[in-house]
Amino acid sequence: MSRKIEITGISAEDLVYKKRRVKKNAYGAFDTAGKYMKQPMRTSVDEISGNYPMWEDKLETEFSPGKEAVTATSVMYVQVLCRSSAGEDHCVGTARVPVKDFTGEYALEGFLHCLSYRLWDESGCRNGIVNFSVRILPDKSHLKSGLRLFWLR
Amino acid sequence: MAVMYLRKKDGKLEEIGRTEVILNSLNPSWIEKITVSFQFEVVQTLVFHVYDVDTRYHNVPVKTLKLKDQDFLGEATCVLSEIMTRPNRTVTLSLTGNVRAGVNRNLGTLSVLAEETVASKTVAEINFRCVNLDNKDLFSKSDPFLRISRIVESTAAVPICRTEVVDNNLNPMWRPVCLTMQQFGTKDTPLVIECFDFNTSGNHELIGRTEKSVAELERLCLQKEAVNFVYPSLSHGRKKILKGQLIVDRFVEKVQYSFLDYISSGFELNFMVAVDFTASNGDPRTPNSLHYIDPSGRSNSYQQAIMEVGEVIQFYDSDKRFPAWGFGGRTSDGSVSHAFNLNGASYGDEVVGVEGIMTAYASALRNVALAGPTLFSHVVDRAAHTASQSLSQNSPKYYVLLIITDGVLTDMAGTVDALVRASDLPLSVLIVGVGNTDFRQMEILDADNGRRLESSTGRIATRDIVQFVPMKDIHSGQVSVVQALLEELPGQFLSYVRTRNINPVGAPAI
Repeated sequence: MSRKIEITGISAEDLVYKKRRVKKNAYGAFDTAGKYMKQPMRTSVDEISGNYPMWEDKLETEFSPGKEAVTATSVMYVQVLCRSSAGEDHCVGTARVPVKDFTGEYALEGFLHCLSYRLWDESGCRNGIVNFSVRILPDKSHLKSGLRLFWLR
Repeated sequence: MAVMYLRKKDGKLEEIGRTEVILNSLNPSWIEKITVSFQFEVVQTLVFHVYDVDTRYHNVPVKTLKLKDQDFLGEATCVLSEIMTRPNRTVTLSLTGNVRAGVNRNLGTLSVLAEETVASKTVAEINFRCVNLDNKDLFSKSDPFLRISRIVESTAAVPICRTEVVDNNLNPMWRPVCLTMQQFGTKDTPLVIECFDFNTSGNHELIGRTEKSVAELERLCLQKEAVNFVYPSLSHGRKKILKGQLIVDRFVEKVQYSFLDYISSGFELNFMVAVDFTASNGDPRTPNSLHYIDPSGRSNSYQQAIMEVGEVIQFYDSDKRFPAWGFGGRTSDGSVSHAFNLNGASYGDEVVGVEGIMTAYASALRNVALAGPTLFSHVVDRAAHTASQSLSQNSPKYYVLLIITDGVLTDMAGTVDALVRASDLPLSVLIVGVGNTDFRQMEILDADNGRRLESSTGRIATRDIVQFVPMKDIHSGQVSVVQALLEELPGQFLSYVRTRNINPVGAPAI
């Protein structure tokens, strides 16, 4: 039972790397533990804005909620990385997003969840915020006679 | 001829405008339009008087006509928000007049059509760039950002917006800035544009400033000119003209859908109330209690807050059924509940109309014992649940939860968690503080200082959905504190729909 899930990396704020504000070339990566997604998704690299990168990239992937016991605690990891001039990618911060935040109580198929999470760096300190949106695309067979619900874009 | 008045709080009528005189007609259609400012936060009662103008005055300017010399034909009353919530923005009212009791005369009807002026929906999107800025940092280059302010009353400047900071760059280019007409006033109002060097200490150093109106910025863009910054020099009183220049790369005027566009297309605002039943309010039977119901009819703080908010929002709710809850009270089954139905029913938390809320509140005071502690998380969860359920219905609704409380929160973390969970839904939470406690915690929830609420799981509130105001002085004069709360509501609603690119029902994307 796999569904299409659409993630849009929107932006990140207040990124600090090695005690200095991140200058440029930051991008976001989305991944889940347990391999629910086909492959980790990445946004494009924002070359202009420094510590407030904006991406607005829509990423689509397949998502299998999987067995009951595992979904209760399954987690998606959102990372913000920055590419240095040497071409290396440094992880600026990671956020741990419980999958039930966008499939749980308030979830409707197709509702656009606009979420923001705190980023934590490798030493466990707070390092900015990442903003992204997630939407589980409704299965075609679930649409009742083409009735388009209002709040779903 | 028709004359339009606004009924003020003291009942007096203030004339807003007059139509022209249409000769010799019992079914006149006037052309002259009357302009009035729409204020969401007050109930604007419009009163219309229709007159028959005597032949003597037919060629006289309408403004100079003395109304007591004319023949009064009838009067009609309505509330401005009633007109704006109709799909065709028209309302037809029956005229009433000074007829003797028992006489049943049809005095005719008056139709009123209201439309929003396009100018108030205009937004200017401007791309700014600078060259040759002065270097203010010691070991690197300046980190410049712009701050745009509007000049009010010839000296004071009110900041209206700021760009982001560009690091280490003396020729920065910023992302486009969006200014609404509400922010810049008119296209000719002078704006002050200051360029600062960002310092992490908060003490930003001024690089230079200039004064331009929106119309002048548009001209700069069209003619591809640049304007030099000046630096106000303390000595000599003269300003120093700098090498640094401000360039306008792009200037686009757009029309955005306004709050009224959404409302008249079918969006509804649904009102919900939660009342504090904790023991700190005092025994309702004693006159000192915040819950004391004065037999002489004077409202207590709770009733006042419910009336003021409910009266405004009820016009935007089509079925006028409002969920009403209490928290912190001990109900008839003996347990303390943090989200019990105010109407005392075990099913169905809704009451009808603002009067329904008042009745349920009064009866709950008799049946529910005040207890504690003060917890908002249950009512916030209930409100969020209601809001999320409505997403699966076909009519677009935005929910407004009014929490009236007298005290300090016991469980700040739980409340923050509930608010963060609800921050992605079409919901706003208005908190009114009554009594004299220290409401510092509420200021944190309000997050007006820019620190977004963070839950215990690391999730951050998608947007700021809480507005708080303390109701310290209920006898204050003209402007009520609750109005300050309501003023923010159209803005919160618009930020929700615009981030999701939701247009008014049936309207094309612009």
